[in-house]
Amino acid sequence: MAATPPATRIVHFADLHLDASFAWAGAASAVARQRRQSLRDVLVRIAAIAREVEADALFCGGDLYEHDRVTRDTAEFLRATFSSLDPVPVYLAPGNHDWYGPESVYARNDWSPNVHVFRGPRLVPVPLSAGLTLWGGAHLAPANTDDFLAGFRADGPGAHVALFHGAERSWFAEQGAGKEPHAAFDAEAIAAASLSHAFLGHYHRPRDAERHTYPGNPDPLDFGEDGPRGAVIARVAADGSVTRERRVVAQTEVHDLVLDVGGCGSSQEIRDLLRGLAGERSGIARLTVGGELEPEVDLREDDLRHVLLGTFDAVQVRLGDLRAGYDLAAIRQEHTVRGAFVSDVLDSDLPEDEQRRVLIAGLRALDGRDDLDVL
Amino acid sequence: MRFESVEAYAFGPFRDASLALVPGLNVVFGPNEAGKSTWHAALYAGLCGIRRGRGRAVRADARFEERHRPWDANGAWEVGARVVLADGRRVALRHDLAGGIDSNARDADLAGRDYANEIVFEGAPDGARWLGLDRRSFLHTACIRQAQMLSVREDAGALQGALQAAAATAGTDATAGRALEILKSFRSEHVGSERARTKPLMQSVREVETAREELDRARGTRDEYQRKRAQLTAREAMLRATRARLLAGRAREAGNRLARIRALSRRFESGQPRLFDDPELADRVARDVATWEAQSTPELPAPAKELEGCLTDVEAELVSVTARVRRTRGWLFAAGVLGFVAGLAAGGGYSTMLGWPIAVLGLGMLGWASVWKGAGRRRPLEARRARILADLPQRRRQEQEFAQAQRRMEEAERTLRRAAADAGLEDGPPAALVDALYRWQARRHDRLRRFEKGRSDWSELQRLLGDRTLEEWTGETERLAAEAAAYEEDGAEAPDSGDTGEALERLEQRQQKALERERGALAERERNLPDVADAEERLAQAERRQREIARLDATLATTIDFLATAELRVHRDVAQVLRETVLGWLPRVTGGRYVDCRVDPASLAVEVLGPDGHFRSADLLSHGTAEQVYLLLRLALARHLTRPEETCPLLLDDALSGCDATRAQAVLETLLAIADETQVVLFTHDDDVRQWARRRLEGPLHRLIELEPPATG
Repeated sequence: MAATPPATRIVHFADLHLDASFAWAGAASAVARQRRQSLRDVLVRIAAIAREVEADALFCGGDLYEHDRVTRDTAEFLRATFSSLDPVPVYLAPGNHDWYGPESVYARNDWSPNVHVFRGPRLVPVPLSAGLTLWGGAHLAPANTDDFLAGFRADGPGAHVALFHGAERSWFAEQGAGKEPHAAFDAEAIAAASLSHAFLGHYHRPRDAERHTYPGNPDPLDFGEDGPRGAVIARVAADGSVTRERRVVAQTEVHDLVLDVGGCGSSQEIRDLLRGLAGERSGIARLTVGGELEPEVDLREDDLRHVLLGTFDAVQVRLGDLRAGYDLAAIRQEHTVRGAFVSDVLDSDLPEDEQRRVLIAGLRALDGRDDLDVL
Repeated sequence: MRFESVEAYAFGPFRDASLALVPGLNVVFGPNEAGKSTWHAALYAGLCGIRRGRGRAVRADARFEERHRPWDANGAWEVGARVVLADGRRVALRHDLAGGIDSNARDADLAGRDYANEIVFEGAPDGARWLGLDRRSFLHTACIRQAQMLSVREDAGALQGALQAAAATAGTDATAGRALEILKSFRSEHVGSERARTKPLMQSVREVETAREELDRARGTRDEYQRKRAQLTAREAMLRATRARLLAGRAREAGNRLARIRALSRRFESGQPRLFDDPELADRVARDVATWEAQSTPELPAPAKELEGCLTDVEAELVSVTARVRRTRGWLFAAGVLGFVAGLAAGGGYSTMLGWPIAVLGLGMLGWASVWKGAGRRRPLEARRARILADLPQRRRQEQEFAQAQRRMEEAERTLRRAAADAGLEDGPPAALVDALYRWQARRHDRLRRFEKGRSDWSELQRLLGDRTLEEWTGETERLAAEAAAYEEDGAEAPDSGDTGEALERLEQRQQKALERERGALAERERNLPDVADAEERLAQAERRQREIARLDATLATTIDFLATAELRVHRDVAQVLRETVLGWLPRVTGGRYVDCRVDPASLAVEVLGPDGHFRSADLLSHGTAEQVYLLLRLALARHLTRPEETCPLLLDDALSGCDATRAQAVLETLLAIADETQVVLFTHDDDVRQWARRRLEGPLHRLIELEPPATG
């Protein structure tokens, strides 16, 4: 009886987006630079994992970097990092953000021999191990890349796996706004193309489907990114079956904080509450401010941000269900200018958020206050 | 609404004390320290309670607690009030001011029914809510303090300001005008207009413009870099193509060289070519053959002796001829002399005719004899003798030359034979020897030519090899072929320009130099490449700031708009109410001196028509009249601010202090008049007021309440 060949160990990641812009980080460009450095650190971690598990190959499913922003320094970092893995082969499938072109880092870099860049719009084979073939393809433009699996069928003996950057259609709706369906395909097309598995990139939310894997962006790019994202250690058996293990590699913790300002009688109380909320955490934070804001409290976005920046590297502040702590129903009953003002504003067709700001600004002014930069 | 009583369960110094009130004017008299202010506060707190909202207490609440919380009641702080509402309900309010838990508003007739939920405001029941007010606005609407009355008397603008504040916020806070000023000032300072370049709005616009320009510049620089990068890539491709051709040419040349080296090496396997030759012999053979061939067989000349015999014969004949001529000339001379003489004689004598011809004949004969020398016979002989004499030396020389030639031929033949012998040839006739020597020379020439060729090839081999071995050349050739093949595999193709190897090398050098220059320039450009992500983040930040300011601007503008509109509308309504109310009371309380009034809706400025027929600002009336008008206006405002179905009681705490007796009486009369429709509670320590009350307050509607003076000792 012939011995079963050992499973092929693959470390797969995607959507690292090196040199991405972190516009939400605000004016503190040092924070954005720190975020970009963090992305690099993550790649170093992934390479360390590849060494640790003695991977047979490292896969990147595209959007490794951002073509429009990538620096020469990053190109050299990539070259050195992948070179350090030699002889472990590294397979790179360019995506829509790092599309392959003559001036791309993929084309210009003097890669070490262990690095293989897929350069064509059609899936092409490379032998991965005995009885296992990898098919990979590249985006050649930032948009309008066709379905890699359309009309494709893997030929040859043994098992076949694929590596490319594309959007699986059934899961597109889950990705939220701002995601474009590049190189869209149907999950059923993977089996129909005689592929055992597809290692993918594009969706930032991780997914372990039966025949395909989205590792998710390994380090946070924005808030609201949930799920066990990171690097995927996949073991591909001779029959093409895949077992997966996820490793979190993020350098940065992302926190979604919710602050209820109800009951706080002063901005100092809110700051104290916020400090308690931040606790010993670190990383980056998004603060959602809600609750009933007492009329006399002068709450400013910059104050909140300033408090949190004592704890976190970067902070985003947004409004949740923040309500003015005035008894508007009572005030509007007054036969005063204040009552008429509140009544008029409440009856207006102003958006709810604008209504709240106008009411607070007006009522504060009627209180003789000049803290009118309303959150 | 009116108070029936106020209950001080534990309030200030009171424990389970009660103060009953009548529906009309209640004058509560008491000397200092009798508890007037406490009852006044208890009335307010018994109706309204105190705020129990989350967060810290406002300063006024804290001060109220400090003044009226009992310090010896085991923490209890309770007050209540029994009120009658316009709908007929009698409600007993009880406020647990310490904790707020036991506060309630129970129906005094329907036991157990609690109306507290109807009137909860800021965490506690607030009876002012039945009036459409709250505990803050009730304080400003219903409670008239001494200070307010004083301000009306002493500040010309206070009345109008108070009216505006009441219209705006029921007197609790700023006027609408002040609020609008605050809003506009804040907008000017924190937003600014499009003309104010130093203000935040335009600053944010400039920041966005600057950030956008920086981003455009960063992207442009990057695009330019990419373009230059693409150009460099194209040049690199051209260089690779040139190098491919060059390498292909070099590989071809190396292949040819190697083939030649291999061919020559095979030929010279035994080593360098060598030549065995005797150049001296070759020279001698050539010289001897030439010498031999230069010899010619001499012609044997006619012997000189033959000519010497002929000469002798000629000379003998010449002597014979000469002797015969001499004899002939003698004869002629003699005949001439005879004839000349005979003729001369005959001519002179006897016969002239005959003599003279004879004389001429004789003379002629003498002449002939003198010139004729027989040349005709002698000349051929002399010519012949001359020829013989001329030929004779040549003939003798020829004979000598012949002899010399014969000697040379013999010598040449000897050297020829010796050379042939040295060349290894067999002896033979000279001609055969010459032929043999020629063949010998031809063989030698062939041998020399082959040697020269061999030597040339050997030199070529040495030149081709240089300082390398055949094996080394083989390796080098294979390396060049592989290099060229690699370039071909890399896809480098160059149009065949027909350039030679040297031209290609020059082209490659030029391209290489140009490429290095461009690489340097590109590297410099790359080092200074701006960070696009950084610029994007700066723009995002600037745009965020601009959005915030624009949002603030929109909020403030909308707020100002709504507030100004509300102010205008409410002032118009208030102006109407003020005028109607004041008109209803003014003639009565002023004894008919003032019969009309008007209120400016914009400013709520009040003017009354005086006895002189002129409208005068209420601020400028006499103090007493101003206070009366003020009370009427407060009544009007209380009516305006209160729900139409309700009436708001007026609570005056020592409001008449400082008034002289006449003015106080006028005010009291006004209050009495008002009390017909509105409950009035006046706290006073003024004995004149007590006296007035004793005189004027009659019947069940009005009442003087005299508080006990504080116990002494």
